[in-house]
Amino acid sequence: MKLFSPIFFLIFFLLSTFHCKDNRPNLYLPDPPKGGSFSLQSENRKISLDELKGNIVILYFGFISCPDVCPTTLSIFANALKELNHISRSKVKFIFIDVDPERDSLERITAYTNFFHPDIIPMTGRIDEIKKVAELYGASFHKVDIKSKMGYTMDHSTNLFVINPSGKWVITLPHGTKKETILKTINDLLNE
Amino acid sequence: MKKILILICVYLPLLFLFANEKKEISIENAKIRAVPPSSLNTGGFMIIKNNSKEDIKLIKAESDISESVELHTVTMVDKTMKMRPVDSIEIKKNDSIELKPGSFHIMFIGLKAPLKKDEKKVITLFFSNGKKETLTVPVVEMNK
Repeated sequence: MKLFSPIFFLIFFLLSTFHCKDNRPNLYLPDPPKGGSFSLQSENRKISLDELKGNIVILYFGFISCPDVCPTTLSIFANALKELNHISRSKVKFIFIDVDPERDSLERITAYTNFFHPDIIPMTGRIDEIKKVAELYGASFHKVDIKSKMGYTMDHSTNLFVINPSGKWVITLPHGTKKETILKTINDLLNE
Repeated sequence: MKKILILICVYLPLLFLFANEKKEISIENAKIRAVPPSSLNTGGFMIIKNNSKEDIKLIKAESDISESVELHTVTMVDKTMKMRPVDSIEIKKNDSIELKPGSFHIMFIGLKAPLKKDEKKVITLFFSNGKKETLTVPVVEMNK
């Protein structure tokens, strides 16, 4: 009798868990970016991702009127570039894709990126062209009218999209990724 | 001699009282972000301390460095950055708020001239309790 009770409860427990409905919500895991080649206008000509093969490419979508995340990210990336030796730095291409071609000319975008580091590549294009690239990498941006002298702002994703020397997307780094993590990511890919 | 002693006894405590009186509003670590010359906008950041016994709001900022000065905030929603103007920024009594990247900030729109690192610029802040604070703020390269 003394043994019966614990065995009974054990059986009861096992049966109840077997028949228990799992009410946890299904975990939603977004599809990883497809990645892929693209071509956008840079300072003097169109540049395609294909011609950058052999290099690590890091994409970032932003706009000049952004006072916050864009200069922060570009500053962090510039600091990371400065810590790479000359050979490593020559194999890293950081691309700033400007999502506000209505206000930001390539001349201004180039001056903007040069302020942070001359090796940052400025790019932009027509909105539909930029949207296609954004879709390939899981980025997003959206023009929003605001009650401001700015007229409108650009809501935009803030991730860094890392592409390996073969031209394949390998990892997405979130906003706020520290310089040390960016450097490690770059060095790991250089050493592969 | 007696008169001098009386004067000292009357005025010395008053002097002591005023010397220790905390300002209702104090501002710390104020800075304006240096941006490329091609950038027409930038942000101002600081810590605002409300040392009073009442909640107050920052309702306006003014500066002649730009065509317009507004109060803005930044939020991250589904990994998307959204910047929006706000009417005011509340600072609770005996509390402080930090205007910083990724949060509330002063937005300078339409810079009249490129900002240079280490330059000092004047900003005036206006509060809901009628107080105003005029600051001399340095232009700094952030995230260096």
